[in-house]
Amino acid sequence: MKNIKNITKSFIITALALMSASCDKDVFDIGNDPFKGKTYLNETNAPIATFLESQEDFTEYVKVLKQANMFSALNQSTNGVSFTAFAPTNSAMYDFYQTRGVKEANELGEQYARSFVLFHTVKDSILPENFILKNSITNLSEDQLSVAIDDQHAGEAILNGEGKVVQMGLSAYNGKVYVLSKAMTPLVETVLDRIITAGNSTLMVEAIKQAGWEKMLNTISDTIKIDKTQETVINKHYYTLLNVTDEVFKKAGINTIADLKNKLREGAQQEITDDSLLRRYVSYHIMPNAYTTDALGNQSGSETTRIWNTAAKNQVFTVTLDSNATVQQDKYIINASGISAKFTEKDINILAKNGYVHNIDNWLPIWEPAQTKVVWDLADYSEIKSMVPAEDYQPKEPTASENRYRVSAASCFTYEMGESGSSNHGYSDIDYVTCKANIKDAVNNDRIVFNIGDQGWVEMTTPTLIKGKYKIELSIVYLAEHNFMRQQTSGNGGRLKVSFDDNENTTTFTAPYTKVTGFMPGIYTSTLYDEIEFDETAAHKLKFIVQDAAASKNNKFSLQFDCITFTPIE
Amino acid sequence: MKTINIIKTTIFSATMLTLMSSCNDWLDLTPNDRRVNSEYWKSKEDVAAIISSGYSTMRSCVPSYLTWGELRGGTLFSSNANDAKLQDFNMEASNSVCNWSTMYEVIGLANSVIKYAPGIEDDTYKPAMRNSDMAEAYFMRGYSYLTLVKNYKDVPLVLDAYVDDKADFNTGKSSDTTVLNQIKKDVETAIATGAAKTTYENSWATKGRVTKWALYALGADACLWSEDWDGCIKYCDMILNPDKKDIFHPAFMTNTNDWFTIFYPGNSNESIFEINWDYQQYQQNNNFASTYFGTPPSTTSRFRITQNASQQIKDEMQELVDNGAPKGGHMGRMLFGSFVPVGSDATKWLESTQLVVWKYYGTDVADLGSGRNNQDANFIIYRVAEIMLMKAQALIMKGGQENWLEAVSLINKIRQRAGLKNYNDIDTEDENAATIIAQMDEQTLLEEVLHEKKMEFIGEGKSWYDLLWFGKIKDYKYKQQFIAKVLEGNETTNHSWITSVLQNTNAWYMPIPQDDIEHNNNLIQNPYYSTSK
Repeated sequence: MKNIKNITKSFIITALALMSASCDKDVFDIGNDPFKGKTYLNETNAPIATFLESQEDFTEYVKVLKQANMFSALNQSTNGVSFTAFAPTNSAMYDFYQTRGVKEANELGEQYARSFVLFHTVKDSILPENFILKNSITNLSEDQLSVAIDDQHAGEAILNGEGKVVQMGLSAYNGKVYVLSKAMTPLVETVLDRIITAGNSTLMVEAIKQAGWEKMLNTISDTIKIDKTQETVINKHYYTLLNVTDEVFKKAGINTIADLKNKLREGAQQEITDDSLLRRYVSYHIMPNAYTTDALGNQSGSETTRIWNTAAKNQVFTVTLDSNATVQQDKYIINASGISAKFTEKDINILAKNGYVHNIDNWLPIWEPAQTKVVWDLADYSEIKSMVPAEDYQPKEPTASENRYRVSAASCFTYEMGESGSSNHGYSDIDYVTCKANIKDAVNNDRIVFNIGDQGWVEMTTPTLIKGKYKIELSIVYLAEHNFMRQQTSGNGGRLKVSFDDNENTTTFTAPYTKVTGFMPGIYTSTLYDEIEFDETAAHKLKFIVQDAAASKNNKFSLQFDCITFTPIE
Repeated sequence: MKTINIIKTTIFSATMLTLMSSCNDWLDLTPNDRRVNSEYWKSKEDVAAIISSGYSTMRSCVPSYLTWGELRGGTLFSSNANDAKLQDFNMEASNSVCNWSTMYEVIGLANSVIKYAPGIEDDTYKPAMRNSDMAEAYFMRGYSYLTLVKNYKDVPLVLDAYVDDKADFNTGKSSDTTVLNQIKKDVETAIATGAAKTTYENSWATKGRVTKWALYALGADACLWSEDWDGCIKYCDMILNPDKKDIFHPAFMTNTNDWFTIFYPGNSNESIFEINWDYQQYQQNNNFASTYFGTPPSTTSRFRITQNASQQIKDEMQELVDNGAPKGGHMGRMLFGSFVPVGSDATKWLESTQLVVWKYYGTDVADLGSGRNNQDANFIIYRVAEIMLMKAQALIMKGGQENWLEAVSLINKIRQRAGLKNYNDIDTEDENAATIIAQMDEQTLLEEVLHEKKMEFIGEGKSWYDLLWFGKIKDYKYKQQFIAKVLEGNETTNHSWITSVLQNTNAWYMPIPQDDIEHNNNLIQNPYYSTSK
């Protein structure tokens, strides 16, 4: 880990000014420097802004801090508040000025400079050894900054695919400084703003407006009240937009909205209105979560095609991996067996405040693919993502410790506790839990833990499934504490009554922990249905009822589900 | 006799340092060592006292020997926050884990013996005794430098004794090649006098003090590290095929059931040199178990066996069971050898999710409740099994059908003693063996040696050096395989971080301690840890 040496200035702390702050951004809203006129014993005792001012390589960023009227704010340590400052070097700032078309800091303007500083600051002092374990962090402008280790430069990291961290964790009195050799561009636009600003997708923008998606795609978060508890939570919204530019529409002979509607009318049922067709088409291009192109193309095991839900009811698209592709653009194919499209070479993974925009090279009409294996990660919901700290949601690798978050308020769960409740106080009713290295095979390195007691039940909506026959398997997380369930020395191994769509004919019983074949903690899979047929392409309601007395009596009982896999049967 | 008694007393009591308290430089800055004033040197007893202090200071080095040698090697991991920075390649120069001052104390004491012992005017101090003392000092200096080179690569090479403030304390770094050449030269010098002892009068001293066997082992180790394959083989053979006139020499113990005697009671026939403790006579504990390895059935310990190593242990255990070994009790280097499972029932090793190191806590009784009364297990620096596998490494690197055949033969001996089948069922006595082995490749054979070393020397401070050697040989030929092996064993940080960091070979070594950087103007920090980009 890089660390600073040869500190040159010498300071003596004489006093600390105290201030109170009500929220993250508010801590910046002060007009004076609480440390002004103070001296410090040594530089590690200097607060961040003063520390930066003492270093030759940050004079430009200090100018930005002052332009934003935030120099003093970054010096605060009131009530234990601490920061991590991602500080661009002078060279990084000169490059940034160039991309913004300005020559110096004061040309950025106060508001933009403020956005820039908020975007480069986290309200927490992050140690380097913790920083490298994170997938993302949330900055003071409440954007998630992705964290990726730079595999080309030893000991360095990349923030948001843009900022280059070349030194980590320099110590200041009120936090840490991470040195950037390349600055980040602040996010100020939504998904819709992004394509409006780009100016080359006027048809898509108009289609989005006519289809009633304008408000949603411009929404970053809203406040909801939970019925049962009256608890108020902020629900963030994330989207992925597969954008079609005017040029791509034009290639398909579509020059106006009327052309698009006519095209959608071809082969459609007469009773469906043009507006409905347009709404379905637009919704088909929107996904209710934020995915990068690599996330969309990521396949499990030896699979090459993955099915993805869209915002259009019961409509899905596939992404097929072409492992022989020699150029990135050809790597992923959307709807490979239908009217297919690829991600464009540029203008993909365009990060917005509420998701990603990916431009595609064909107009991508709705198409129903053939049956495909579907791996349903029970944690893969936008709402759960909103409730879990970004760095712990679907971590790229097993985490050092199990991190648990209650997520029962997410609307993807309809549930009821059993009357006898649960004796396991290690988990809440429904928790999102990350997996350590001993459960390294868990999909997305996470699981959902159900602790709802005997006769408790949960209902969830599956991803959209293409009609046809499937084998359905449940993958559970087995821990050493589940040994009594495996051996049924207490209870019956987590017996469940499972059904789909409240249809009694689909009822089956399973005790998944009796199917654990080994002693070691890990992922174990058992079959829920050898064969079940779905008559229509749709999402389905899966309900399970716990029928194990140990679920209420044994303080180690929990049901820990990783995923449910639907494998088509020819 | 008198000298020996003094040495034993001071080795075990370490009180000798207080005898020299008149020298007011004991708190000197590292790497400048404790200075022994030139006025001090009057008799052979004075030399013996400093040598004793050298051994005593080596005991203080053992925590570093263990931590540095294990934590990045994937066999053990630590729950200690400072240790974790080392094992996760997050080191900072200010981290006390990279403090090298104790190593340089040993070097300083050795330097003073090498400088002053020749000039002592004492009629009873015969040349053989004088050279024997110096041989011990050469070993101490050489082993300390080899450890430093393995951990820092380039280090200050201090060969003179600091006796007054006229000495230059601002020594810059020497290259690893220069330091390794000096180690080899020291070994040769010590051996050339013929005075290095074969045995001592006391059995503990034969293993607890430096013998010519220890010098050979150091020579083999230094040659292996510097990729001098012929030199390594030469020194290994001096131990493995000793001169017939050397009736008493370290010998490979072939009986599986004798394996644990290497550690309890210790100072075994197989041992070449080990650092001794003795509670019964000198009331000394090293607290290896309570500080590092745990005291079964307690489940907490600072050093724990990784899941990766646990799985390899269980695989080997399963092979032993399949070969008909009883499921409980001593199983050679495995159950009640290197490890026991956490819990009250040792037979449930397969189900156990946590294995702990047993070799420093257990006794000859295969029972979880039969730990040592006192925590005074010795720490083995070299034993014959390692020499055999060092030779196998050198033979593999040297190449050629005959060399590879001999390497596999050595591997097989280690495996047979462990109760395992021959490597890939190759019987080296079989006429087709050479043909089969010739179809293998260097990497495959090296990986097998690394695996055997991993299983044989669990917790003996070797695993990281074996991996590091693998990564650096032949101009980093196996760099990516090395990184993959580090990843396999690390379960405490982000693998993409490790992958990134280890692309820079400077990150394979520790930073020079911050105190030394700040006080020695000629010391240049390892570039990976420097601030300029």
